[in-house]
Amino acid sequence: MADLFAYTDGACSGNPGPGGWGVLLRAMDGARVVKERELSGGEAETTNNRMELLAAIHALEALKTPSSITIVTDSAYVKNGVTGWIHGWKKNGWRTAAKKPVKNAELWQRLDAARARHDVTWEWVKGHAGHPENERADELARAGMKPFKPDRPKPAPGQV
Amino acid sequence: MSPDKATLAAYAARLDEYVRLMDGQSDGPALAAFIGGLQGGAHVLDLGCGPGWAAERMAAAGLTVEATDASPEMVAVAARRKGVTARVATFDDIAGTDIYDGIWAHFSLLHAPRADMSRHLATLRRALKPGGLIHIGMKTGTGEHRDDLGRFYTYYTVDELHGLLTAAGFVPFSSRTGRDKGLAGRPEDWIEIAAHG
Repeated sequence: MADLFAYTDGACSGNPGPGGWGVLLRAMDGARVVKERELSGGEAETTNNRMELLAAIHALEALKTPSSITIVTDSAYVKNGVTGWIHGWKKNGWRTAAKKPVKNAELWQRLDAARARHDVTWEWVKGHAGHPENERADELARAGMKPFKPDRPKPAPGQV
Repeated sequence: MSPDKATLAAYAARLDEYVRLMDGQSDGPALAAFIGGLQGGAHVLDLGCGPGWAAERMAAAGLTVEATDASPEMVAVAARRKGVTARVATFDDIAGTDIYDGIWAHFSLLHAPRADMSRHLATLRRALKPGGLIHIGMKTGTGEHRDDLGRFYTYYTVDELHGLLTAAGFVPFSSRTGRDKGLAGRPEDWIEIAAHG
């Protein structure tokens, strides 16, 4: 029986601004990669936190049958939210301790619904710290963002 | 341009298998986002509806669905779905201005030749109300070719597709890519793009 891992990452150019998310899904038998799948996407106007959340959401929504999976994210926001804060938010009707509406509540609710079907272990890794799988997820997130990024500024006259 | 006969024949020959494949898949986040982005009672065109699995979900969610497909066999299956009005129509049979609140073109326009794509998108832009929602699913790659079942496909790169949509007057705001097996059994890259009119 293979072990499932999802490496997820978000990217954003400006906050808010165009953004992307990426997922590297892997089925592992020990150190051997049995199966691999990549997902990515992007949005025209979003935030880094929303992209980190959507990466985890899409990883879970891509699983057809209830599964046991480890989600590896470099987002402390996602990791702390889903393993801690969310319990309080659910009790408080999606308000923070300061009684303010929870930001990105609809995405947290979607993540909560998606994970309910599965047995999820959440793992945080430091981003851009040489984890090849995290780097790949970052590349996918950037690829997802690319179509929504305005063209590079044209060189000024005389610089061509 | 009339629809490709070999493509229609391939779908007709594998109708039951295709219906099972489509009914067996989970809804996917794109359909949920499309339905969620529209008000109850919104007028929706399901362009290239196939056996009508998506049209049925939209109707169940309270949308008014008009489903079209070039394959009479597919339309016959779709028309049996609860709440779904389905008719045989090619991409060139779509006409009118400011008719639809939403257009769902899920892996259907990929059967049109590349030379016709701009024209089809212009037609859809006209038919969609200003600010309306369009979803397009396509296989990504380059060139035009037939798959192992004889179906004709045009492949676009991600950038090319975004460019075509933008040129037609759509504003893409969300996209998703991945790789999956379809009816022909080979994994292929795909993209889904959501845009406003």
